[in-house]
Amino acid sequence: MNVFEIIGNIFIIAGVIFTLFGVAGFFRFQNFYIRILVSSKVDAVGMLTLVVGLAFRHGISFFSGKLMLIIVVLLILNPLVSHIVARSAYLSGHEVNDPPEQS
Amino acid sequence: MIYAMLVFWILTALLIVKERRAIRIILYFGAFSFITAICFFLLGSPDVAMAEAAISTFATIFFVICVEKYTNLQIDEAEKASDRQEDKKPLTYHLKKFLPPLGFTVFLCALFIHFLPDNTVNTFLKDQYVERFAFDVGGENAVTAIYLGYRVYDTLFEALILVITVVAVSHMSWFDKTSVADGRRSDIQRSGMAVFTIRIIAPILLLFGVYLIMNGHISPGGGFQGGVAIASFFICRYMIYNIYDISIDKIIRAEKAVFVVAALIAVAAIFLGVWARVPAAYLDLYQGTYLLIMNALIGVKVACTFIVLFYRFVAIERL
Repeated sequence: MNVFEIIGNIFIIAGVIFTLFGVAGFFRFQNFYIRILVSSKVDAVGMLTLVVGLAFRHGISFFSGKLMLIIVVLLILNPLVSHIVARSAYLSGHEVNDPPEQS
Repeated sequence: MIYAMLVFWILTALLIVKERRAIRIILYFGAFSFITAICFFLLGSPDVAMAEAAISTFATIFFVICVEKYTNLQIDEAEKASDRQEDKKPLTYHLKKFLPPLGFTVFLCALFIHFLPDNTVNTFLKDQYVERFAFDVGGENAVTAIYLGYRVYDTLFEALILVITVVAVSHMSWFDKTSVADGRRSDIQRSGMAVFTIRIIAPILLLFGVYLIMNGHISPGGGFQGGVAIASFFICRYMIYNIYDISIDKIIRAEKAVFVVAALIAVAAIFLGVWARVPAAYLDLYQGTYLLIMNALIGVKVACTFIVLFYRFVAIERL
């Protein structure tokens, strides 16, 4: 196992941990906006780290180039999705300070 | 697995027999067709399963249109009351109503299990496809070879499903108008951040769609996927300029024309046997041209379908 693969594995493990935090936070919090904030971690950071790890594992190749392109698209689009969901919720009258629901 | 599916199958069949409301019968019928498709797949015939799935989609939409035309889909109070009365009747009544279909389905199931083939699936056709597709249809993508060569009839039927979807959406709409006044602006509050980002991403989407279509026969991709990417470019365009300046009628007409042209080309190429008469030296060129043209036509058709659906839902169906 060369250096690239070790770095890639570390990145992939970090991505899985980020995703885990995102999912845990999604079930932990009750407020809608906090949930969006937390679940955007899964989209943006977790996915990004996973793809970077995959690119490292493959070394320098055409496949890694395609992965880099995917990373650029993800960087542009993922925060936008969270932004639009939160914005449309705010515009349609969702209260920012919701009382926490009893679950 | 197959036995679990058969049990579900019988349960859905009984639900269909028991239910009296038309709309629910149609929904159960969709579930029934779905399970049938899975059964076909498990028994080693994916092509029949795909046809079953396509037909069930068509049939569901068709039935819903017919029922909606002649009856009221909403459940009225009288029906609810009669349902409640039905529930109060004694158990023997339900048993009498339930037992004959149950017995019949158990009998059918026993027959089926008796004639169930053993687990050896015949892979002759699959091996033929994998070995000979490059020679028979051309291109390097076996999926494209199957959906534009061996199974082009199924592809045409699938494309017809999209036309039916558009017709069904137009027909079941609450509004009678079919087109939007040109140049009208929508009253949606737009986010500046979204507009800026979509401005960056939209040309990439268009390029990606064209790439998928043009390379459909030598790399992953094809008409259906590329068509959706091109349609998403037009959706982005609406989001940037915030204006309804695409005539839905014209797009529907273009879609139908493109579908007819694609069907004619496929019929001419496959069923009239033009394939066999092309001299061997030009066969590669001919096959490549055929795949490219068919991919492009199907891509345009799919793009038209999704643009029409999007504009209908955004511009006309908004209350």
